[in-house]
Amino acid sequence: MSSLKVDNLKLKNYMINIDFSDYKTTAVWAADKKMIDSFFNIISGINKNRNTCFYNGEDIYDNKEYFQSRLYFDYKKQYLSTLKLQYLQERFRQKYNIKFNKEEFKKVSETLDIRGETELTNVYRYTKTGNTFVNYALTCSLYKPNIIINNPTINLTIQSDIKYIVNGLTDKNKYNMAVLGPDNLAVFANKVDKILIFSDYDNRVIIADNKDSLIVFNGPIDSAWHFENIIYQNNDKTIVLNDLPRPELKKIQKNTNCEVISIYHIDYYVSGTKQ
Amino acid sequence: MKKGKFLKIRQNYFLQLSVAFLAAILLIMVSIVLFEDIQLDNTMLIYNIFGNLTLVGFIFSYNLTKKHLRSQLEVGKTRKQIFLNYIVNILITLIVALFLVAYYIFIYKQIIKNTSTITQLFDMKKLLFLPLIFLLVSSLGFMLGIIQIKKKIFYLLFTAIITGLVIIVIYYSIAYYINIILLIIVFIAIPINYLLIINYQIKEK
Repeated sequence: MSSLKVDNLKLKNYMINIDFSDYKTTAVWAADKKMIDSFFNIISGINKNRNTCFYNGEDIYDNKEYFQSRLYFDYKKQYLSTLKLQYLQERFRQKYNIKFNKEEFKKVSETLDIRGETELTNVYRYTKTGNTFVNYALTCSLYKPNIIINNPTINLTIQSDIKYIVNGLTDKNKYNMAVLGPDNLAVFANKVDKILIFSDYDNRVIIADNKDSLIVFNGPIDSAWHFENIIYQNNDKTIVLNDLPRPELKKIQKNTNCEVISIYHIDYYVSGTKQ
Repeated sequence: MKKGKFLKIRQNYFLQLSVAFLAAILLIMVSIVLFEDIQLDNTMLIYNIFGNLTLVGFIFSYNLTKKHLRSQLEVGKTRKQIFLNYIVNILITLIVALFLVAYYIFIYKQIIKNTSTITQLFDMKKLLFLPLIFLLVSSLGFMLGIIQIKKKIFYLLFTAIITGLVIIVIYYSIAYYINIILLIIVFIAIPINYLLIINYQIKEK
């Protein structure tokens, strides 16, 4: 099986080691979203990695074989300026030598009602939601086994739409490797295998399990506790990965004002939207 | 014919290019007679062809590296492929333009001035100068896109370059050594552009 491996990649102050062949679906989280963008630019082979990222043992930077097998989209951006399927099929064939599956695009666009999110004047103008739909439909219609998607559910509000896209992107039968930079991690609950976290506290990279939980403390934590995996800290709160044995956790819960939350709810606590 | 088939034929680039090419040949033929009737400079059409080519080459190269580079990489084209495609496109465009110019010169000589030689009718130094300028200006556009120069500055430069070129072509004669210098600069600019695109770091947005 083809695999992507990151071996001692130094990015800003982080040192990253991960073998993506171990997990089919990986979510990447960082308090600073630019960090995810930088990381994705490197693992997609777009920017230089100083010989630290490999696909089938070969450096991925500008690697033709890897580029043919992977797709990197940021759903915030607009990739298609038309929905004319025949034109798109020809364009992808001529410009990129990629097969564009018209039927798949049509199926997804009908399910998500892309036309309803498109204003058709002399150009195709999508609503923000429509743009995410179009990008998702495009992802489905290009035959790529490895996908790297940033902001996969951006601008989506309707639960059924979110569920449809989340299920599609995390479909293990469809993709060999999916690396996602969720704008809303909560909607990916139990859908990803691992969560790669760029700790805001001590520039560590933490690979969390999909069933892991977090402990949220009010304010800074007692240095005597020696938590290994502190994910985030500011004046109001500290968030750590819960890797404590149950009795120890109970003890801490008794003595301090803390809350145990699902790892998928980290955004609510970091952004302060959780009251 | 079914609508789908008609659309497929209409959207075929090869067909589109062929139609445009045939139209250009027809227009050149007609324009030779018309230009002669109003006693217009015989090289005007050649200036026009290369002038337009230079404008398009400059903007195309700038847009490729400034706007489209990232999305092409994201979809799965490598930097090497992008650069190679770019060079091939530029060369094909140049070959087509040279063919049109050669056709014009041939027709002009055959129809209008059958007694004079080509070198008597046309300034060959300028005819060499124009395609070299096209290559040079395209390379410059490519570089400006890579260094992400702002649009306003680009269009100011664009205006200055075009004005300068028009003045040079109309008012000055071109020596052969200038063409040689231009050729050397073009040969230097191509590997520089390759190194620039290969090493360019895509920025986060």
